[in-house]
Amino acid sequence: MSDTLVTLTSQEGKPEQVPRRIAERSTLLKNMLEDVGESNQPIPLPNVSHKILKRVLEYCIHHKDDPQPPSDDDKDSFDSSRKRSDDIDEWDQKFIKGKEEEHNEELFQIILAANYLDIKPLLDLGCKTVANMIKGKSPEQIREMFNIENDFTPEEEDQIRRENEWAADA
Amino acid sequence: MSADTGTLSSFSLPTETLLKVLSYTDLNTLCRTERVCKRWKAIHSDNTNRLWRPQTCSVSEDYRVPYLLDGETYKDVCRIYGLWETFTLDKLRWNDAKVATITPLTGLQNEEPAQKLLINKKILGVASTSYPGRKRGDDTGNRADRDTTEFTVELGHGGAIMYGGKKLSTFGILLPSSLPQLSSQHHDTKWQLATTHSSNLLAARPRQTKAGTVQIWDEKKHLRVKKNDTISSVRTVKLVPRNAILYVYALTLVSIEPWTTSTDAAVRVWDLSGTEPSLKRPHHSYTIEKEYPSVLYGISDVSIAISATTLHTRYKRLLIKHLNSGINRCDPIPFSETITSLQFGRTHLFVGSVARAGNLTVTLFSLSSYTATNTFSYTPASHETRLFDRLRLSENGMQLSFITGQAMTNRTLQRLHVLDVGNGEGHVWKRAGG
Repeated sequence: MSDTLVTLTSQEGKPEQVPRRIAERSTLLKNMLEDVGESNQPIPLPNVSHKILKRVLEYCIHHKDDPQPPSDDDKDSFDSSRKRSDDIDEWDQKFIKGKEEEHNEELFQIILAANYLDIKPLLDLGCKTVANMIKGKSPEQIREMFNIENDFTPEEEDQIRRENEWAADA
Repeated sequence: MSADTGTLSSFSLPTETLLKVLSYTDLNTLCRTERVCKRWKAIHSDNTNRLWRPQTCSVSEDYRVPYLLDGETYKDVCRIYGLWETFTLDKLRWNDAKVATITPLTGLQNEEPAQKLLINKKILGVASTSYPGRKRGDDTGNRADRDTTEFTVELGHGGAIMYGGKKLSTFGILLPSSLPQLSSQHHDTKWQLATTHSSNLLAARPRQTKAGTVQIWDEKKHLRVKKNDTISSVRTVKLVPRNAILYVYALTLVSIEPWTTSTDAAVRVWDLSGTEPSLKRPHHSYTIEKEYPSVLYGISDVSIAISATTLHTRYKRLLIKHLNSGINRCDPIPFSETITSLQFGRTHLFVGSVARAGNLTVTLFSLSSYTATNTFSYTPASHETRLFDRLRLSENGMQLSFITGQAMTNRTLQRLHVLDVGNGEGHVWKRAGG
């Protein structure tokens, strides 16, 4: 059964055929496939562009033999352990880097797709990469990177700065 | 999202995803991200403990999540612990007269943060115990002994850190208006600190010598010393009568006059205006009753308070002696109570005591009627130790501070509690800090 092909339809309506075991790297698709059983019906993915779908599938193919990650349902696992962002392996680093000129745009879309498709390792990879990008950056630099408007008044911003004065370089 | 500029738009990132991103940042970046925009600030506010609990693990000594006190968040705990390694001397900052962050003493940057004090949830001071040549987490199992480090702080007047222990004892004075910290190392010495609100003097004496030596710091002198100056630049005086060797067991400053009590059961007032300290005579020496040898003292310009235990019966009393008219009040103290601190205010005497059951009590005695007018009780939580020490009244007489300890895995985290005592006449005391 795992060798059967599954057809995924991207935002643009373009089909992409992948082995079922690759598609099942996505918890969303795995659950859907289990729900519908044997079916040749294409699965529409209206939130994922074809370009990003191919990138996501590239990741899934490379990691097809990885063990399934533990469920993130357990909030304690999020809460109680300090997370590292410097443990990205070499292939993942190259993958997430993508083309330099499209890096930020593509990274953002991969994160959204990984979140939508519920592919935890890919979501983690994207979040770690963004975290590494903002580490050591000033609020101004983060705003520029994320194209965020500063909606604080100078007084409000100063107040927050004072509240965090105890932290070095905050 | 702006594909043409190659930037990201975090506004489309779901909150959960943004939280995930933030969970991978370090403590300082996490602080900075609060200032990015209102949405990020709101995400911080709504998820404070979720965001900060992992950071707490990373900064705690034993990589465990510490206890939270009522009203405390994990961000507060991070503030308590801080990132010790990032503190440097030039980061000593006094936000106002009463709140400061204090860095490791010069030369002790690699030491363990053994104790930290809080006021209004800001780090007021950090004390460290030195174990030369041994690093944190070494496999010898050598840990800072919670009993070997002491910290004394005077609100608005900086503080003194005293390090004791088998290996090394260090003493430092920290002043609000002068960044340089003076430090000196003395083996096997504990110190008592005295300050006065009305002058620039700080005084200290070694607790474990009989020489009667008192060291006096003048804040103005501090302004002229450099960062790494040592304690030797401070005036050292011997406050004992000529040809006598007395153990000065209590020291306080009234205005610019040091007052001492000694093993001959006398209270002496000293004049420091000359080249040599001299005893002020004839009115400034008072003999206290020898049958009460255990003197915990408190002195104002009109009264002396004495906590005494008789030798034979171990009967405990609190004596409040008016300097001109003898003992005005002599109260028995229940056997289950131990007085740990005395502090004179303008109108009241504050007496801190610990009951055997662990309750901490502050009792106010009116200095006009010499009656108890108010009490405040503090029951330590189960994980708190009974440490209750160094009752201090703030300069304006409106706040009283005391210290309790929280037993951690291998150390005691000290907390400085601040009570808003008003003018001492209020019936309800508000716990304002800690």
